[in-house]
Amino acid sequence: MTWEWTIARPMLLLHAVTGFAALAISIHVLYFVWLGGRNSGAARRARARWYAAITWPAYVAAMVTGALVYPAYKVGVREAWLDANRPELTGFFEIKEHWGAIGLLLAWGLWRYLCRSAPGEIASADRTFWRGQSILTLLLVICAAVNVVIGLWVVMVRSV
Amino acid sequence: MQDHRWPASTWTVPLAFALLYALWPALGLPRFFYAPQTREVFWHRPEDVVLMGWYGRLTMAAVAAAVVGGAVARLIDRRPAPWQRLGPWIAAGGVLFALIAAAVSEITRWIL
Repeated sequence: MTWEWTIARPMLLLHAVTGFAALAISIHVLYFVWLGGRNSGAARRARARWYAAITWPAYVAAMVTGALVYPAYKVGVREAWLDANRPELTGFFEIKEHWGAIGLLLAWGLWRYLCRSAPGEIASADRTFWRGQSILTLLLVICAAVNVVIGLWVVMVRSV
Repeated sequence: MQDHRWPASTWTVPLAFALLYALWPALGLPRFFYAPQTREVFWHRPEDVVLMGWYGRLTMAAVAAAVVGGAVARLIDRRPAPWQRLGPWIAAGGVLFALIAAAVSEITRWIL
């Protein structure tokens, strides 16, 4: 048994934990960005920045553990069974991979953005800014949620 | 509060660049800076899927315009741009476009 197969299942478990963590933390970012649009939301905006600061490391952890599972998945699941029997699941898995990469960039960008854009001064006075920031954070939550759901779906059908 | 007026060059220059880049092959002009081989690296598509040609071209045009056009616009006009205000919308639009383009690409390859 090669190292890919030895570590595949423990890494899959860690991948699930970090993926769920990324989803949960990004929901917290959305919650506090949304509340931070109010006049009294300075503390909540600070909380949003804090949660955004740990969202992207959770994403990175999910991506690293996922990359360690990938060789076993590619050979033992995808090429051995999924492509021939359930090609639409391969498609959904590829969508998950793309959206995960976009979500990682978005998570890092959103953190930098929340740190640098002084939202406390602008958000309460400018609803355009606040709505745009909320939608951007909602997209991050959608990316993470799609990753979790498709990942669980594939694992339920065929796992490493 | 900060002046949120949008300097004209920050949207006219990238827009002109994007249109020129996207339409360059259709204008019958020499393909001086149009790089289909670069597009193929990022937007690999099977031979029988012709749908992706314009997706790839428009995506590359948008990305190139955001980088090159934005840099040129900042050189032309250094007044503070309202990126704090419209930045999230522009970023959300770009992310949404990327999400849809990626999903359409995989749906045409595997699911349909």
